[in-house]
Amino acid sequence: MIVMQTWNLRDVAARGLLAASLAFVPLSAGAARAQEAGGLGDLAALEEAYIHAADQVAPAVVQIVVERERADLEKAGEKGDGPNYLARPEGPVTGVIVDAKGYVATSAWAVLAGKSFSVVLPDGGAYAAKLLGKDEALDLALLKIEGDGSPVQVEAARLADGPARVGQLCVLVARAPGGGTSVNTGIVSAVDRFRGSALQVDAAINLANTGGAIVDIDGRLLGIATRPTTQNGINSGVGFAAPVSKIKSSLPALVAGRGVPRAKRPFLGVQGGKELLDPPGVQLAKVVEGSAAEKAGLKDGDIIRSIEGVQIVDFFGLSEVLASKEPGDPVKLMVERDGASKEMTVVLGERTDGE
Amino acid sequence: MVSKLLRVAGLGVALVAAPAFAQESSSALERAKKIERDIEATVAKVSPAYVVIGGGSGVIFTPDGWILTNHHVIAGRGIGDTWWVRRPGGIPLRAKLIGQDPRGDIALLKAERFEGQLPYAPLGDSDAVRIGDLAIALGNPYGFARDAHPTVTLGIVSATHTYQDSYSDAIQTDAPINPGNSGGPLLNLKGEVIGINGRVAVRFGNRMNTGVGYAIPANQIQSFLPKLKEGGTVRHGHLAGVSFRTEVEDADGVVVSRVGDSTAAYRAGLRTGDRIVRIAGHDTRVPARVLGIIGTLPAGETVQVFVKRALTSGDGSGTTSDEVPIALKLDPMPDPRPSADSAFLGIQIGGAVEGDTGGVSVSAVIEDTAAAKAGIKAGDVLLRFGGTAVGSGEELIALIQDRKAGDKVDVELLRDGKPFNVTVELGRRGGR
Repeated sequence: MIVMQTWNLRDVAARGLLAASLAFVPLSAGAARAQEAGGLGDLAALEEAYIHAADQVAPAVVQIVVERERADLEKAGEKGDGPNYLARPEGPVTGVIVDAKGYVATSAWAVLAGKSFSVVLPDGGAYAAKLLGKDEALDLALLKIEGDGSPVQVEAARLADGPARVGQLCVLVARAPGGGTSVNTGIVSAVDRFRGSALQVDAAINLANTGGAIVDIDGRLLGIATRPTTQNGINSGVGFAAPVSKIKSSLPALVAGRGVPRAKRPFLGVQGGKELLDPPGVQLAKVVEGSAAEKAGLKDGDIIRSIEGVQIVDFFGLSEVLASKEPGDPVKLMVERDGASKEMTVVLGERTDGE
Repeated sequence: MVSKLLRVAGLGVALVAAPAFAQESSSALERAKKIERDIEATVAKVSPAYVVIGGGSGVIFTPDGWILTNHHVIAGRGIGDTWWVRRPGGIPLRAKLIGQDPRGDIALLKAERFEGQLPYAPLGDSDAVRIGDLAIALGNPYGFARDAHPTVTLGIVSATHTYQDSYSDAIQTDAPINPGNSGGPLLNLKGEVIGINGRVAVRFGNRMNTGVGYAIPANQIQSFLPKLKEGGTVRHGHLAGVSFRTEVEDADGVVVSRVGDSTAAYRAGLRTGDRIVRIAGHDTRVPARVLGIIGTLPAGETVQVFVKRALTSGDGSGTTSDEVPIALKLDPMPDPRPSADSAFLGIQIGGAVEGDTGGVSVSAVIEDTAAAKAGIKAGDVLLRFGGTAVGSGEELIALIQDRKAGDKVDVELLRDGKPFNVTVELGRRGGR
């Protein structure tokens, strides 16, 4: 938990703001000096590199105008998600041409409740497009530029070969609502989030650049920006992208018009409790009725010492082991009840929403 | 090519011929990649030292397993409590709460029962941090990192030595900081911990990054480490009974508007009207900085204060003295949020009593408390608590907070000018 506070010392706040604005003086002054000297300072070099990277991918970054059904927005409100809950973006969104045949990738959320789609190329040409399919786990959607049937010349983004690296520089290139290019920079904050379905960046992802291209410093696509993580759509510095490796493996199904459903997730059926220290284990507060755990004979108050031979000290550890399994898989648990240990085998069930 | 580049950048005029630019651009790319490699290398070096602690973060800063986090991250735990924290990859690590600094929002944990040495990120010199330096934050915003691999965010140091109440000497950064970053390190490009991230300035109740994050500086933590390692709760220093004229920045120093004559500061030689120009080697131009510097030091520490004093000559004309050094022993700052378990006396304090006797006045006694049972009455002056002379209300509060419920303490008082003694059996704060 972060402790929050508002500015309540005005003079101190003013000092802070002054200092913050001064912070930029050495940077720009340094760059100017470096350019005057006929060479590029490191920061000026960084500027050029960002511009270069954005330029590389910009021809493949398009605007998608979505005509939507309003019903979906209202439904989201009815589900009690609160007045600020973002059912979907309001204006046009961004997409990235991932194949010169006219395939445009974007965020599935960005085209939520879309009825018809039009892709606006960087040169301003607008073409009708068709939604081929979605990969919900990646928050990815694929559209095909159709136009009037005659071939449309497009340039595809170059895709990165290797996996993204934590700390790597990245550039988020998108189309601003007016159609111009918008560029945000940041670094790769983490890789393999949500079981590998996302990479994390601190570049500012907001409503209009959802679906935009996140590229490396060479301008090669690392991922497609997914929906903002905050309910009000304001960037928090925590943003996610569908990683290009996953996009590549998802593409054939999407091109063929088959959506990629969410992978089935395993469900053991135990709820919270105590994390034990000596010896380590987790004591179950509750075994869910009708769950795999109950069927296997687990009871409230049982202590799980290990699962599949992995010592368990907390529920994160337990869920990490489970995450590597599929529904129907048998898993071996070392369980202690009333001081006696025994090995139990649980055949995992399937997690449905709300569990 | 050039026009495209400039369009993306939003610049107007092309000044460089295309071939020359292409060359420079390629060298620019190499230099940018060098910066990128530096960042990646630092991140790779420090990330293994990161730990997830409950809903917050922490950092191992010595190979033998000392861990720093925020006090608010371990709220609800007691000294000596041991539990599991998680290292990147979800590796569990046993950690024991050794010391806490509620005012400074720092907690010190010690890893236990691990083999060999732990990866660590050492504490750096936070006074060497410059505004504009790149800063890297590690944390677990919103708890997304189920595998405990940290979220790495990059920004710059936006300000140093900012006064944010109990974060009295904070480093301000624009590296994104969100709930879950609390207790995580703010690092320089060398991979040294320059601060522990703990707060975000917010408006309208949005609990998220605003680009204004605050970290507790490493040097402040260093000055408390010996006491934190001894164990228990540390207290920050402060100058009881001293107030400052709250004018804006003044290059001639901070004017002391009042020093109570029963205070330790007075006894050490500080006088009303003095201008404090320097404390512990740091120039002071605003009251917030005076409070800021003092707030980074432990209670009981003696600090060198330099003041200038107005002098009146024999002919009545005024001059200013040379800098006068004063060695001030810092009073203890009371705990801002004492726990329900903490000791309770049961009086309301009127204020410090001026004059020869010193002490604090009792303005009211709460019914059915330790004070009431011992016969203390409103109007009494409390002179000594457990043998220690009391110079201010804060000092008395700190003395009480240093005790436990059930402790029997001798209290020396004055009533109608006559001294008397009572023994109080302290109650429990939450037990009334």
